[in-house]
Amino acid sequence: MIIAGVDIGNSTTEVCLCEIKDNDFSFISDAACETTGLKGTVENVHGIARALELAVSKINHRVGDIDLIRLNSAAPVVGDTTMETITETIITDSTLIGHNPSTPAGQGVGKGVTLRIEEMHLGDESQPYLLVVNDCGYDEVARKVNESKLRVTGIILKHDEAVLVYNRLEEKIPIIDEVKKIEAIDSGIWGVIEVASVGQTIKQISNPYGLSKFFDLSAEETKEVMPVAKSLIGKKSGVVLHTGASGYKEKKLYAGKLLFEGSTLEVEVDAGAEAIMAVRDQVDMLDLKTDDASSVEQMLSRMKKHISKSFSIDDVRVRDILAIDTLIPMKVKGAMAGEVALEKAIAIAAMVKTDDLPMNLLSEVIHKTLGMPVEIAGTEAVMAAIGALTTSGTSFPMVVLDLGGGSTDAAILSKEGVVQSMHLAGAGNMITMLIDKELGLDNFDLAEAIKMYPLAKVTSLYSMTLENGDIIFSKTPLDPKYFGQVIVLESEYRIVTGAHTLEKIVEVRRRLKKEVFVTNALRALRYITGEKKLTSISSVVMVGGSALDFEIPELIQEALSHHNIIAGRGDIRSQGPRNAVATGLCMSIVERGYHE
Amino acid sequence: MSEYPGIIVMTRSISLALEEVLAGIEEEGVMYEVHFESSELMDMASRAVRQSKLHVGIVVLDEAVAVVRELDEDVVIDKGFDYRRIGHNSARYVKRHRLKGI
Repeated sequence: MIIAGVDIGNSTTEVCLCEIKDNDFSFISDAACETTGLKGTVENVHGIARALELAVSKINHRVGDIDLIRLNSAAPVVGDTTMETITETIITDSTLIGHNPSTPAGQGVGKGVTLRIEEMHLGDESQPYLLVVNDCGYDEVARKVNESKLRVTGIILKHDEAVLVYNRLEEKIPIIDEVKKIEAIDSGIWGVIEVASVGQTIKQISNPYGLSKFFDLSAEETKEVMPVAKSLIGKKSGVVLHTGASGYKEKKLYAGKLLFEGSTLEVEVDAGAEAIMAVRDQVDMLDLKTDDASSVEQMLSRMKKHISKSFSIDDVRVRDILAIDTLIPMKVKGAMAGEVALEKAIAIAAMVKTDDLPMNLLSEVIHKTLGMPVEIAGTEAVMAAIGALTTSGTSFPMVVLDLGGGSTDAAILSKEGVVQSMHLAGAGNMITMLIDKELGLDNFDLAEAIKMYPLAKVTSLYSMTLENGDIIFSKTPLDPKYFGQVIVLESEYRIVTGAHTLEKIVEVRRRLKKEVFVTNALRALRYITGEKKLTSISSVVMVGGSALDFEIPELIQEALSHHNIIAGRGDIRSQGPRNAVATGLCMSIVERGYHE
Repeated sequence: MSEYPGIIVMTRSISLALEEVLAGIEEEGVMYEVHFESSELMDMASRAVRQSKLHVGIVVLDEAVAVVRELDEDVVIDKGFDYRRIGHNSARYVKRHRLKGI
């Protein structure tokens, strides 16, 4: 007879098929696909059917050939992630900031009053000017400046023609181009432009005291231009226009407080991740509340609403949170050239506990849909442990660390069996969300690919340099669209949009993997053992989808090696780190004894 | 062969299209040389690319085409009627920068 073990996870449904023939037990197939609907709800049946279909098709069977489905009693916890920005940069009409065109021209600082090129005849010879050019060819701009008696100290262009104009000027001045919304710049505004020297970045207008000198600002006003200066650091060119009234603001958004029920502890969300996690570590059984005004409250109620479509809302309780500080690039409101500013944000993953999931209802629906008997067999943690024990070389006491998409789960096993299990917020999906936001991709698919595969930079039409320094060659020339780009080495090459360097993307990816999974591995071990120093555990087996990642297990391994813990990727049925629970469900039938 | 490292732009006669291509190259800060010849498009391209020390040639006829030579192979990296962009892209290829608008 054929038995299917089915494990419904927050993001993935896994199945394992085994066959029992004349008291011989053998594994015959497995498969995984995306979980449909929220874990533990009847919508799961579609994902289960699909996964079973996949598994039987590998061995030329039909779903109808399955004699029994064994379902794990999924832990009633659901994970979700959200992000709240806590600062916002706004530019009102009076002040504009600079940007970073690829080819500005000239070098140094130009200071003066803006003057549109079509109004040049109105200029005053005693006054320094910044010339604003909307729609005028490079030849004509250069001719007009060369012939004019006005003191033009710098030029701001709409089109990518700075070098062209510069090369035709008799007297060389700094020029900035590619200012898209140039129409918005009126004549008669005081402004400064700066173009950096070769190989350097701008120095004057990225310095608040520099701006203070140019615009004759008071100490108080200097404080207010700090965000302008900050946003120009590291740029090759920039422009700052100023009408006198300060219009550039870094606004702080009120993010609210987190309160912990049954305790007097509370923490301001904008105190940052470290402060939040320090408080979280002090509370044992967490029930998170928020004050009504907070954005976190909105995110939690959003999450609760989502969950309560399937469960009654009173049952929903937050059991764990993971907070991570981040900086995300956001379009500056009111900016000229599509500038972005890095805004402070906080990402929070939460683990929500509901009352017991309606597993009986689900098993009935599966039975009705697919036809064969369905039984609920044991808890997730026990099954994961049974599966994980098929990894050779493990010893007790052992911790099974399940690195999933929606949550990080841990179970500790002694020789006598499972001692305790727990579910922590924050896992693979949180990393994907943060990659998407930090790199400003706005493309979840691409972020997922960046998380999962190494990167390369295409350095010629026939070769690319991988992130580890290796070079690979292509037999035929690559499509020129890949030239000079950073790409993800998926089966098909994908271009990483945005102007990020390969090094920056790798840094973001590895940092986020550490912040989520290394943090959670240590948290799980500390909470589950009740120890700060982690002396009682000898081995950790990593299982789950994120244990397949090409660097997450190594990052955890490295961190745990400082505590003398052997940690490694699980090797369930010699097939890798996936399918532990589904395998456990199949194996446990042998213990129970099955009679045909 | 050209004397200095530059892009060879080959064309039959002076035209607005040629001016646009040259403006694109100049804006990116790369050197170029203009050669006047009259032949068929790809034939001119392969001669232009062989005369360029940067192994980059552009032919401007009705249509413009930017060709580079890598590993003994001529590869078209941009072509069409956006002459300024073709100038930009041939220069960006030289600078190992990603191409525009492709």
